Amino acid sequence: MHAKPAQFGLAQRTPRIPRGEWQLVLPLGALFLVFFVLPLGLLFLISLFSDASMTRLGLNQYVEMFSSALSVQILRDTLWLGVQSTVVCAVLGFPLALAYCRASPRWQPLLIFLIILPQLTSAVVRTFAWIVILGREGIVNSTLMQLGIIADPLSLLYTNFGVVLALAQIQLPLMVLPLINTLMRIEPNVIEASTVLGAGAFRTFWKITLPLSTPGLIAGSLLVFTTSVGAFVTQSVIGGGRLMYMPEYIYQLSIGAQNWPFAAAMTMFLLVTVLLTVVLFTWLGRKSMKHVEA
Amino acid sequence: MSALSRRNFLKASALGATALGAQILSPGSASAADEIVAAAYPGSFDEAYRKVLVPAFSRAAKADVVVSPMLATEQVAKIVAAPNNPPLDVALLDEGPMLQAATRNIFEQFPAGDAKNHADLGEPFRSQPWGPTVTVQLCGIAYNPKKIKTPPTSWQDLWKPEYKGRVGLTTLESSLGTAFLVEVAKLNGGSERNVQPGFEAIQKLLPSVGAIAPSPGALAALFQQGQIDIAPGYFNATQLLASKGVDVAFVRPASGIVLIRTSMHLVKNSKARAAAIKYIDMAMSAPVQEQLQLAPFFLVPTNKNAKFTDAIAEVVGATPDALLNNPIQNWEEINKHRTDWIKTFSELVRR
Amino acid sequence: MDRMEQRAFDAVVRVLAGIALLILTAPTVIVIITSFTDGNTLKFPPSSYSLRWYVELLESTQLQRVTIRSLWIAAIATLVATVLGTAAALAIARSKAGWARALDALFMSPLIVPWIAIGLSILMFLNLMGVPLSPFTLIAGHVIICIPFVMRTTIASLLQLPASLLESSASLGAGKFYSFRRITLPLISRGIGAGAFLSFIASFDNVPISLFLADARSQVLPIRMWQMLQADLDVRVASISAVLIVLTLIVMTVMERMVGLSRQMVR
Repeated sequence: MHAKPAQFGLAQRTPRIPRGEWQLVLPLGALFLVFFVLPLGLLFLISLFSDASMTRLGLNQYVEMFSSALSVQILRDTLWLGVQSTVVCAVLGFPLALAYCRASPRWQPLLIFLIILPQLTSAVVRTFAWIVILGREGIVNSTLMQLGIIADPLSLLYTNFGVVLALAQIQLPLMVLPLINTLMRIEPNVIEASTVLGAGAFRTFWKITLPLSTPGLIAGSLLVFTTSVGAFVTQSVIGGGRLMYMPEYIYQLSIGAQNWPFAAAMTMFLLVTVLLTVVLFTWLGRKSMKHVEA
Repeated sequence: MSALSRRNFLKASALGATALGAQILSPGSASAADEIVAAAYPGSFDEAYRKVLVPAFSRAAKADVVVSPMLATEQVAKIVAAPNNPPLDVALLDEGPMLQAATRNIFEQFPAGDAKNHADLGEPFRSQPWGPTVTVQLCGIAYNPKKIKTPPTSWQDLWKPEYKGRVGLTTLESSLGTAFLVEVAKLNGGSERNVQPGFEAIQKLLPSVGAIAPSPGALAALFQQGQIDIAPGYFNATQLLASKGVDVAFVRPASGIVLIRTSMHLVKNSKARAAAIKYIDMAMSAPVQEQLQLAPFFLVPTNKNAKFTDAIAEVVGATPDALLNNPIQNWEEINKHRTDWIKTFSELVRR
Repeated sequence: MDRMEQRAFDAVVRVLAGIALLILTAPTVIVIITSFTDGNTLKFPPSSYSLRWYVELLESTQLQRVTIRSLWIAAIATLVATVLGTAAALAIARSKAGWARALDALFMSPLIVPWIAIGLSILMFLNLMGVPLSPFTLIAGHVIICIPFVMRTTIASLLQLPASLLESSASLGAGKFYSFRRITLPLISRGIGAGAFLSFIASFDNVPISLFLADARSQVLPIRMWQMLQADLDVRVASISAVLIVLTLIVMTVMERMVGLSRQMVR
């Protein structure tokens, strides 16, 4: 670090970190070690026991997990739920982010409020509202029936669709906020240039806006996917007894059946899935950044 | 304020806040009186014990009670996790979980000699050593009388084609779900050892099933939202719902009400053993049980000296002996197979 | 042609954005309306209205106790997370060193690691170590999931600090702590404030961690509310939810005035 760059007014260089500051990270590091790293490590070890009373080691739990029709279905349903959630949030969230960027600065704080409010209310509060909305005699059904669109009430509650819808409410902010961040950084000139050159609105969107906002889309998708997969309360309340996803299954195995090794194995699978998703999305993100820069 | 004194002020208020917080977070250590933590099922049990049992106990024993709402499996899990310093002094369990928990060495054999009301319990309610049965839960048919004009009379009525899409069930995680399965099996020639006829019957029922709730409490929500109109249900839960204006009524099946014994247990290594025993004793006493059977709780007494109210008598019979004419299932046998049944059931009902 | 296509595009955007907003806000509105019901059940729309269930809240001492407990736990968890998180943020925010990047990822990971995994693993760990559950273990679990919220906004604030400020302060002879207190802290206080707010909410509303780590004596509000919902459809769930929503809105507005919350979330 030399004085010369300062003379040219460059403020972007990396500042020198005064020595001794690294110690500031120790308390948090210690907390994370004891309450995060070690417990997760223990989880992995426990998943290596072959029986519920934890007497023998072995990979039985993982074999069991992938061979039992029930757990395979639960794993599949949970991952599929994550995918559906991500797609719905992307399709609905992108327009909302666009709308925010176009809105006048006066309305923007209000929009942000409306967007993050669901995140600031507890899962329980949100889900019982959805029961009232999706039930047989709930709002959606009564409105549709009054309008004559359907004759019999639709089965919305206790369906996969209902869960995705309810999840969309909490996940949308997770998708919209990163998208807004990215969209605000896109050069408005680029979009203008494209329109001037004769490209229609949809084409501009597909060819310019969308690729340029991939980093935000990827960040949002990652958050939505991982939260949907782990959204315990919504899955159980809206999903009911017939639809079981991983978190509920893990809870039942651990607290219910006291089968800690199997619960640990399922949790490890959940974690590995999340990890793989992060790796995948980060790789996609890097590829898209190269694209963007080009 | 100078920097120094402001820092001191901040430090002092931080310490004060922490002390206050610690006081609020760690209950009871300051008081001299004994304090016990007793579990109760969330919902009508929780309410009932809080309103009736806790005041009676506090008056008699000069001790405090913290009623902790927890389902049976949760109680067992938390006690097993910390056996030397258990978070509960008194557990409340249905027979199924109770038998399993007993094998994990977390209960003390109930010292019947120290509890004067123990001898007054009916014979089947004091027969096992781990803890007295303080009430019996009644499993029968819950239905919506506004939508179903002729009251059902037997379990078989659930299979009637006119109820298509409106039948509710609950999973085997709860005693209710398991009891229903076993009862249906028995009605079709099976037993606690062989519930295959039960599974076959449920498979035939599936087209009629409108929803499968994750818990008996969630079934209540379904009645309220009009999602289902008929389902297996507990008497006390159904009455509680009815008292809230939900259109639901309880009916006793022709084959009898399935009784589920619910018992209280003294947890090993409890720090307030004497108080815990007294609490359980109170729960067995006739005056308290007579109060617990009143609206809106409807907890059936097990003490021979407690007179049934008309509402209870209408359902179970006028005397404690009549109560025992109803079927009690063999939970020892059930527990052997329950985990397998849960798996089979989950696979059976998946869409 | 261009203009029609532009209009069609705008229409699509507006419709989808409208649906998104509807999904976001309708449930909240429904909760509030349902809370004013005069009946005994959670039906919507209510057949008659009253303040009955709010009055019930005033008499529900048990609910009040549980709420106060949740508030305390959230406050202490937030305090700990803010102090530890800010310290760690100072250490790693601008460092490009490998260890700093790795720690950054570690501290942010509770955002994507399912909370149920965190809660379960801590429970297993405590059982193994023979440590009984207590409010302190619960708070520790909450701190873990609160940290990402604090660090995200604090680091963002730190990154926007002109480096020259600190350098000049150092070259003028000011000690590190003094520089921190007089220069850095005031400048990043908005970021810290926003992070602390999000962290408080995350702890107060948390279900998965509390489900595994709450001990028998201390119940937290979200779990109590869930039990009320599952067990007997207590209508008080609606009124207490409405109270929470309104309080959250009020605090959000205050935070907006004090730290420019919306700006902190969208940079």
